[in-house]
Amino acid sequence: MGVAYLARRLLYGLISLLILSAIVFALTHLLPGDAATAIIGENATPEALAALRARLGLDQPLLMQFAGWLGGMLTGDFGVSTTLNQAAGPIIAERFFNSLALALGTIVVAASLAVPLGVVAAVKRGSRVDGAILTASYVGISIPDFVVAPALIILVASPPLDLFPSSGFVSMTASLGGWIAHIILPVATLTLVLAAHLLRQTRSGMLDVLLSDYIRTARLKGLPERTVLWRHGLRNGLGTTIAVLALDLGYLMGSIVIVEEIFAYPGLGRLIVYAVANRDIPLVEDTALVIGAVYVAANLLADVAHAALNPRMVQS
Amino acid sequence: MAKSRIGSLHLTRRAFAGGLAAAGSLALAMPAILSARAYGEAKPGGRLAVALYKDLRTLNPIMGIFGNEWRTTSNLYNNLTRLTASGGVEGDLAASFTPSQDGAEWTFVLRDGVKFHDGTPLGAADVVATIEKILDPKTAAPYKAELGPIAAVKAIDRLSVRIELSSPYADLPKALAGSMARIVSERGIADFAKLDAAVHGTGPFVLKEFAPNDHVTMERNPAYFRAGRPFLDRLTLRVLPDTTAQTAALENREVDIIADVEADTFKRVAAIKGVGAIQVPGGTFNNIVLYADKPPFDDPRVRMALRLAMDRPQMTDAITGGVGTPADDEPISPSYEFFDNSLVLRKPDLAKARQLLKEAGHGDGFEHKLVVSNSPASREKTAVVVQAMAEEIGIRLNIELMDNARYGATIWNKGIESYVGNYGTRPTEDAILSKLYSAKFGIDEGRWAGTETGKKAEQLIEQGRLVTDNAGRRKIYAELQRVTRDEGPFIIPNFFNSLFAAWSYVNDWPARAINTEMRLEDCWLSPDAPGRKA
Repeated sequence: MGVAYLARRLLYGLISLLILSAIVFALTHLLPGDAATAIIGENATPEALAALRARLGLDQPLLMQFAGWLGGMLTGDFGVSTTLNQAAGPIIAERFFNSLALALGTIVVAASLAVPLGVVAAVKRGSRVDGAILTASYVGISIPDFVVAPALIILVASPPLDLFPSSGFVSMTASLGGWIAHIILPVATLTLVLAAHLLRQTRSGMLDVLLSDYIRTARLKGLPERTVLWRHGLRNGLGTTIAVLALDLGYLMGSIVIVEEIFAYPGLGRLIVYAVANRDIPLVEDTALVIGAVYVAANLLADVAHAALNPRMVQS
Repeated sequence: MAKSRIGSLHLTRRAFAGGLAAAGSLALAMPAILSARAYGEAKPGGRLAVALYKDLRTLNPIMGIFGNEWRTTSNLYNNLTRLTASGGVEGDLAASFTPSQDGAEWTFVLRDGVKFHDGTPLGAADVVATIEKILDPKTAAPYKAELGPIAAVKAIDRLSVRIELSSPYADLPKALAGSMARIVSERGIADFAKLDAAVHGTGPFVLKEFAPNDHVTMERNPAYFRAGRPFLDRLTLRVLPDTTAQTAALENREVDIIADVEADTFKRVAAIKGVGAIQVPGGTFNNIVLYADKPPFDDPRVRMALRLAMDRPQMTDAITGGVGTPADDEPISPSYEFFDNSLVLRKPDLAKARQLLKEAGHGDGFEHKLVVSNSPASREKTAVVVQAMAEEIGIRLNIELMDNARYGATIWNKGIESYVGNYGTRPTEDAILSKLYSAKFGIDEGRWAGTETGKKAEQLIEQGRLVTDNAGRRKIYAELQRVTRDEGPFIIPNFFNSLFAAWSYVNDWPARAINTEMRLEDCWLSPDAPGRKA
């Protein structure tokens, strides 16, 4: 894998982030209302709105506002949240690490459940084991997170079991035990949702490979079944699974609003919904950019991992 | 003091048990009262955790708009005055307050020896700085108008402040108890932009940690000016937006109180053994705005027809889940001091309503658009229930749902489309009446002040501000309740009760109608309260 290849991918990533920022900025301005109307609410008078807009810099031309934000971004300044009136950087950094912990936790748990089960299902395709695994995954796919989350709260976080805190968050530095206890139920909810489709992805990826010519060749060469499966099969069969995992990481960073809301988990998803509902443009921009950057980085990582597993990829 | 509070809590809990007709709840609520009596007097110490529903963006009392923001600052700051449980007013930071002979100015004398959290002493200059900051148009304080007609604020000496009015205003002491009028130190005002996350107050608790829209942690202020207060060592307010999680957190004692229970979960939390569910009649309402300056509701007969189609007790049940009070299209609830309890609730009369519509030329009924914001959820419930009632007399309301920010920017108070407004309990009758009906002091939300009856209401509002004796004011506000009920530009089907749920070991919880205040300086925990690590 060449340095040039990596540099090119990185450049494309940066360009897409720039385009993303411009689109997000334009779209948020198409919405009626701005931070001033959101801050004053049903008490607005034209004078108060004008005064507040001046204070928040909302009376500047749009292009100036965008340029100001972009300029700050280039120097690492995330700007100031207009409705919280605090530097956006620290707020986003904290939410980012909370979401990252949730996302990585979910991916590790989901992958270590789903990949082995998917391989087993593919190898034993058509058997009862395969049927059982597939049925279980169907159930997992069909129960939405807004059902799983309250069900978990009622089943394991309420009397009589009362095993975990029902919701909320404790920072890792304040109490490691508390942090783990609070993250278990959100991770469990997301794992149930994600593992199912990861499993199906692994199974179909493996099936394609197991039915391919080179696996037949390997078998005909007389290689032991274990070597065929792990060295030749899994390496190639996991390609799509890794790509899916990369997309899931992005999804987990910003789109799991419902799970974050139910468990009162302070992540990026809740933050972006708050920011949009309150027309807090700097916060919307920053959060969108961070989530976009995660997608770009995760895809890059996935490509690198895929290439490492399958060196032919780099040439193409 | 503590005894009488317990007494009033006792009453509200009994009222709750009767109203809900839930067999278990009376028995369940009783241990709370017994335990409070058995321990006799308040014990200091302990940590209290309170669940709030949503929206805790800022700690700046002047720029807040959400109840939770002010509930928080009521523990970090003090006002010049505060409201008593019965709706009267008493000094808070002010030791005394007196009007001049003509009522055109008031003198407030501050308590001596009060200190801000940073150790600097409270003085007249701090009061002047705070009030001037609220009044400064550049500040754009959302609730500036509710402070009253203040022309100037002057420091007379170290502890005396003179407030000069542009017109006499009998309600000034009550208005200064309003949630936006917390006294911030001069230093805090000078650093106004930081007030969103920093506290420059004198309140019973000092700020420890604040994560916007997530939680705020406070600790006991050992230098608080009320000796022996507060009792709690630590106070945590947590934002829990999901009701399942809220209920579970209460059940697990991760929180001790839910400060605003949703009507839908009220019965569920009441059924938890050891938890008392408390409801206090409130003054929060949703109003359907019927513009009085454009067809079809510019004809008073059409407004009256719609009023006559409303079955208020039934609507109250449907909208509030049985925990509300029927209203009669005017905004003064029984929780206000001058509520006229001789008013009899209007009964539905569909025949008369149809007759009025026919006389107004709408014999076949008509269609009308009603815009509804998605937050709070009660607006949509109100709209749907009013729609069903209006249908009976041929008025077909077409509901259009939209997001709250868009509604605020394009619909609210724009004078174009009918919509569902939402207002909280105010400290005074004048605050809500002048806001809704007066073009001079408020927004004239229904564009009614220009009509013959609207002019009469505007005059009465002005009179109410001038008259200082209670008998005279009672008469004026009774008259205002009548004219706004019969002629006003709104349908107001009900008031929402304030709903709380608390473990029995929490004592002297300030269950009040005004849900922007939640002072916990008198609150204390019985010895059977669970220990709490964080």
